[in-house]
Amino acid sequence: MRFIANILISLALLSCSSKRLYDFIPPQVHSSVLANGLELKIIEDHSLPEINFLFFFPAGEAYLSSDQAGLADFMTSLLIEGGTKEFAPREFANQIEKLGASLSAGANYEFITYGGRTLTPYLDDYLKLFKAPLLSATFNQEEVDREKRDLLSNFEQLKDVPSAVFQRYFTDYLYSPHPYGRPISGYESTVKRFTRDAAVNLYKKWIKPYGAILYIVGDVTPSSLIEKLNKELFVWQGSVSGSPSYQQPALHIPNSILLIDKPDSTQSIVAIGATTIPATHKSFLPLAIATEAFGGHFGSRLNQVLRVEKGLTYGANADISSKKDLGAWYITTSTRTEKTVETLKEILSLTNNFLSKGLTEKQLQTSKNYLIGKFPRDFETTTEIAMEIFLIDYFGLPKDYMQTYRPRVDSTTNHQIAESLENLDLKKIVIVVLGNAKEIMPELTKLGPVELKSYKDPLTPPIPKALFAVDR
Amino acid sequence: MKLFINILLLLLVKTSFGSPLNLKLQIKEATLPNGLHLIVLEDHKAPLFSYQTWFNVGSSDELPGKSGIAHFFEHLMFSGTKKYPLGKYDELIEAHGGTNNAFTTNDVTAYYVDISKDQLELIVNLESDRIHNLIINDQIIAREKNVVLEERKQRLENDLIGRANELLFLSSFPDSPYGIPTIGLKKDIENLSLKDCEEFYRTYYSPNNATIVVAGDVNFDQVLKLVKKYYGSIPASKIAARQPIPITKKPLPYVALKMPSQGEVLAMGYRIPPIKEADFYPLNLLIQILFQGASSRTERILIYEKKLVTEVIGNLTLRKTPSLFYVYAYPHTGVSAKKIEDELIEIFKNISEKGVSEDELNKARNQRLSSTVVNLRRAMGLASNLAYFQLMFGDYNRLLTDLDQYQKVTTNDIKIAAKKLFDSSSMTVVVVMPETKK
Repeated sequence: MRFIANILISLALLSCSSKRLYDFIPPQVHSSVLANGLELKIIEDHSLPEINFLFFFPAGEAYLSSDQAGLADFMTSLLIEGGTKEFAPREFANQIEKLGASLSAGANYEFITYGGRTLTPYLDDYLKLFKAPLLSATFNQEEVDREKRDLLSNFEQLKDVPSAVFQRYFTDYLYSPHPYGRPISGYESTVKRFTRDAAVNLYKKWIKPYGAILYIVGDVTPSSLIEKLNKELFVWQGSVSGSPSYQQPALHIPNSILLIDKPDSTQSIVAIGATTIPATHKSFLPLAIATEAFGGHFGSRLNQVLRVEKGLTYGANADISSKKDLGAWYITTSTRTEKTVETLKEILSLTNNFLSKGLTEKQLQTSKNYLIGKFPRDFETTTEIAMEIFLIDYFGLPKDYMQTYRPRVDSTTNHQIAESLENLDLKKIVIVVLGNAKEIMPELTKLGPVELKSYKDPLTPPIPKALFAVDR
Repeated sequence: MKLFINILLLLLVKTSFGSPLNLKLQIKEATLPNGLHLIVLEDHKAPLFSYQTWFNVGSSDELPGKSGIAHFFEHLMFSGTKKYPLGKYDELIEAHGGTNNAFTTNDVTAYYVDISKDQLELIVNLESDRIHNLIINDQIIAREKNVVLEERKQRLENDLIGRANELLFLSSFPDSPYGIPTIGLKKDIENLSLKDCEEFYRTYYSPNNATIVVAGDVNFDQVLKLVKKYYGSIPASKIAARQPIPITKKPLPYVALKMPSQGEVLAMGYRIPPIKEADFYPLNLLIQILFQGASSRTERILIYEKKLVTEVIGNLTLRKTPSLFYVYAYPHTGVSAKKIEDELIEIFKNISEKGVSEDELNKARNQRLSSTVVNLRRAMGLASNLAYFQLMFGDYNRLLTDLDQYQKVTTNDIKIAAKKLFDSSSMTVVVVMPETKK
């Protein structure tokens, strides 16, 4: 009787969990191609009177040489702010904002974004504005000069923001000379050389319909919208051109530490990290699940030890970045100056334990449950929906990814986790600390060789080598 | 243009929602005999909900020498109970894909959980347990003091803007509790005792001082049944009404903060009355006209036309106690904070004397409408906005009815609000400058 009862209970739990795995209804995507070759993905959502537009152009920082670092971001800023044939720079901003709408552009390493949102009643007005920079951005010289000056002043101002200084140094130390090591906004030395012509040349190469994808989510009817877009964009022709080039990150001496001195710091920022597999690797999902368990949420082991048990920090986090080429696995935290080395030792010890022993079954199940449970929340806003569907296209994931994600998470085993952890090598982990060097250095040198820099030192681009495409 | 927008939205809403200009939100409420107020918004867009508990206590309730206790106690609320020991709360929520956090302001302390729809009873159970059965002792307090002091370092002491902000408020309200940051003064945090915390808990963490707002894929009757089951037996407490503290001193007009910095940073503040006395609608539109977007007055003039700053930010901190309108500006290398101060004062003077245009007013209204729609998208946004309006104004319907009020504001209303706001006798200027500067 008990045996049968146990089976029934297990079946009940299994059926509950199966139902939960499949109770999410993914958004339906309507795919189309405009006459000029622009690919459209439209998702209808009539729950609110708003529409979100998000363009992705396959181009970005990784398509440039290091001596042009930041040019992609520079161009995208001026796409919106540099004026168009119809509108002077400030008037264009005014026209968008009058509708209560938004429009922005940005650069990443392998994609450029361009988009915004509007309320439904203003769709036609918005489309006329939306198309203007795509078709006829003018890159007004005065705005080019202003943008350059803004960037150069900003580099100085960011030296007063410890987290910003830290982020630039950490990414550089982890990746350089790989393009992922470059700040998206570039370096002082590269920005000084930017010209209007350079920005315009990139615009002409990259802001083209063929090869780009436009995601539209919101209160629209596909057929009506396609007709409007064909009408507004038919004169816009051409293909996005270019391809990324990658380099291997430089190897550092094992256990070496980069220390960025900021003498007035009362707190240190501490991070360890290593480059790892790209998001398309078969072990990426298990590695992401493992990382989530180790340090991805408040109750994870890393935060529990550093914050809850030892009171060393306000919060500690482990994460893995989704990248097309080389991913990055890292831990970051902040702690009071006098606890810097203790915190670092604790992080290294916990990481060593994690890499050698993996997860317990309980930790694995908790992590899986967390990722399964939170999945629907990634689809609440129109921007999030557009981004999720873009990422499926961008990484070339299966078309049924949204339906199968949760079952695949659920079926991940500890054996797969252990295999995925082989992609992290403790010997290749880099350590970066920002803080008061005078206070920290004596203890820090006991952990390994320390390279010292000042927070005031400007980052410089790696010297360009002969670039080659790397087979992955 | 204004009428056109209203009619279109009305028509649009009629086809989709069948109700007045603003979107129909299915909201129901109830109050238990012990004073607990429950508000439920049913929204079945996604299989999840946001459960928020807002306590009507914040840093403005703190006694002298006990600054930071409201925020400190927010931390203690995660210490565990007999039923759910330390760590269990987060473990259970995260095991079901949920996230949770909390925040403290001058007026409220709020706790929120976002989780899948099948976990309602779990959350009601967890939240009701810690409102009444929290375990706190000297060891827990010592540990959390370390954490809060780290947080204070991160947010204030180790951060240029954090330090400027702290000084701006302290200088705007000298010798007044209204100037003390919510996180508290370092010495006060260090001196908090177990007795202080126990008293605070007994006084303020009671059902008659709490509003629960649930938004998402839930059913009101089901929520009410569970809330009655788990909270019904928790007794109310006696809470003295918050007494306003007279402000006896004028703001310090000028303060220099010398610290290692690459250039100067400007912070300005103007004192404003408590939220219910303030010109709420004209002030909010005024701030948008001044600061929201590249075509706003300050960005257009200071960033794009005169090219003096890289960034300028302004906002209101609207509180139930006297509060502050603040501006931060980041001058270009070689440009002084004084220059920016003069330019800003000129912009404020212009708007006080000449007002704003109809175009600017309509733009601000559209921006407000747009941001309201954004707030309706997420369960968490819906819940926190409803809770905000309920606790600050006693009327959660203002989430949408405010849109009508903004339509009624005139350019003259804004001019009057600007004139009242930009009174030099209520102004403080803080300039961050390099240590080497004389």
